[in-house]
Amino acid sequence: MISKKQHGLMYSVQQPSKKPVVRWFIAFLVLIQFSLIWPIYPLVGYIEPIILGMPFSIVWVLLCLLLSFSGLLAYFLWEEQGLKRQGQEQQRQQQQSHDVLAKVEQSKILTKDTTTNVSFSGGVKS
Amino acid sequence: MSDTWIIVGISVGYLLLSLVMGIVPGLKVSKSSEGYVAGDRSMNLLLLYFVLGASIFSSFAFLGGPGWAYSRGVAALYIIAYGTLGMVPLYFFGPRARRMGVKYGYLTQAELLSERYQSPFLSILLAILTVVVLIPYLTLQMKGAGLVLNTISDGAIPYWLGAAMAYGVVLLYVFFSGVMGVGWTNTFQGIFMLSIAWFLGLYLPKELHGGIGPMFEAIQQEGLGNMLQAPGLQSDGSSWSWAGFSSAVMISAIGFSMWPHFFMKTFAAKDDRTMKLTVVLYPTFQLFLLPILFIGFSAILSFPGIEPADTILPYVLRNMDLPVVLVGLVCAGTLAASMSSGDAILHAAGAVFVRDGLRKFPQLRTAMDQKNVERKVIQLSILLISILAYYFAVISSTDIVSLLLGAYGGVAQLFPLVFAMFYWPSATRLGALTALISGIFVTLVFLFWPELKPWDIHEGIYGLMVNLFSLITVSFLTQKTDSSIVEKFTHA
Repeated sequence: MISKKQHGLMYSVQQPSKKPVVRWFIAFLVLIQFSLIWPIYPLVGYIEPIILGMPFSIVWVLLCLLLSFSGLLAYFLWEEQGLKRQGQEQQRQQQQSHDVLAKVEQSKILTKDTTTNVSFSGGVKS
Repeated sequence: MSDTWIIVGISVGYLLLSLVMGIVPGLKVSKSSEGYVAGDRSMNLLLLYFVLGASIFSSFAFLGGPGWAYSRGVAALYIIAYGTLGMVPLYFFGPRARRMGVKYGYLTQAELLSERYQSPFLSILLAILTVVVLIPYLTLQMKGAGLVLNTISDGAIPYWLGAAMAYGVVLLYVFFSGVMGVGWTNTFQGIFMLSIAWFLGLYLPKELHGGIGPMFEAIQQEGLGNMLQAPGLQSDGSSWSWAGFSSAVMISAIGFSMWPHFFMKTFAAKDDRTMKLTVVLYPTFQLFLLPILFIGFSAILSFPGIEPADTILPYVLRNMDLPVVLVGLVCAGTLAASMSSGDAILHAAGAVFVRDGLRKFPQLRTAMDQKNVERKVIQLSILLISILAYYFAVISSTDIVSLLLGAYGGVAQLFPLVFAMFYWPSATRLGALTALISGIFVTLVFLFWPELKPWDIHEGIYGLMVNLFSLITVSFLTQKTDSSIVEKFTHA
């Protein structure tokens, strides 16, 4: 019961903040893909400038490879952090609901005490 | 003569080491099919990284790659270009597939698809297609191994014996250890071939031209600048068109993660994090292709006119005055490339044939549900498949690269189905079946009759267009799949 509720909550907390990043990430991947083929690669796939002894047509593909690796790594770390935060959030919520429950429990005891007192006093009164 | 035997000795030493590496880990996993096919779903990052990396880099990379650079220049970069993002779909599909595997016991890609689209027929169809595609793929690996041992030993080891030696070892460890044998040997083979590739890719340009810069300068000065200008040349020596290059990269990138022997490794991953991190680290494996291409570039001026181009690496090794131990190590490295793909392919073909094909017949299923019977049937299939592939390897004479390019067009047709499985609830059984069948049909038509193509793009792209169109229209026209089944996938 409790876990289901938390799952639903996790969704509502996570989705609005996650979606735009996912979209940007996918746009980034599409950009990389088109940098490796028509229409972007034909613009840069020449021999000059020569970098580290290699023609630029080769250097460009290596740059794309490096960029996609960095992008993937960044996205992975971002997701990982999100999960960690979620974990902490959940823990905090659990703690809170635990506290709330404890308080309710306490107040129940208190009200019980007062009601008994009241009824007791009422009983005395009557 | 004695030099030859030192080289052969090193190769045999490598084969024995592979055998030990392959047999020992199999002793640790359970005797069930889950242990045999998915390693009890326990693969860590190191294993998964090398299984996925090394099983894609095959004889094609080690022999075809330098061959392409040698005969077609930077056109060979297409291999790096499609691999850059080819794995990324598994970042999204992989963890979902893995979780469903844990929950419902799935071990193959077709098991997922046939459940989502409620079609045992789809499963059987995929099993047949998988075996039909994987056998030639395995045949190519065997040919690569036979070719290397034959060339390097100056013919002392006949071609048939070379292929039999390498694949006898593969058969033994795949047969006894299943996927864990594949995992540990691929790790060993992967590290080994990476080191060899880097060493050779830097050493050869230095020896032949005085370095990488001077090598490219010399190629340009000899009037071969068009080889270095993207997208390089076609096999007939004319410039490759951008449409041809771009569509070949696209179709291979889409098909990359759909190879059954590749996709099913998601079920072996220990957890989601391992699966994702493997995809993230994958481009580092791609980098290893760079020195491989340097090998081909370095031979353009020094050894002109070698035919077929695929034999350029063994040719260079034999005709340069290299230290004999080095030649032996390179020989073993090439065997490692061939075997690290061949083992995964052989294992997948056997597992898919039994899990997705035979199991779909009710009588056979009850028989296989008995303790460990299924595992034995898979082992038997692996034995038969390797015999069949060996038969083709020794008698047939097909070009390595063209076959692989053709297969990529077919495998890419699975992508829309896998994508819709997780992300498009409206996809239906008939939609999926028509999409797959029409896509493959169109691809094959344009593969065999290329003159029919309206534009000069890869036949798989035409297939994919028809595939997508059928999937969407037929899915809208037919009855929806039960939502309880669809949700299992979309909420996985």
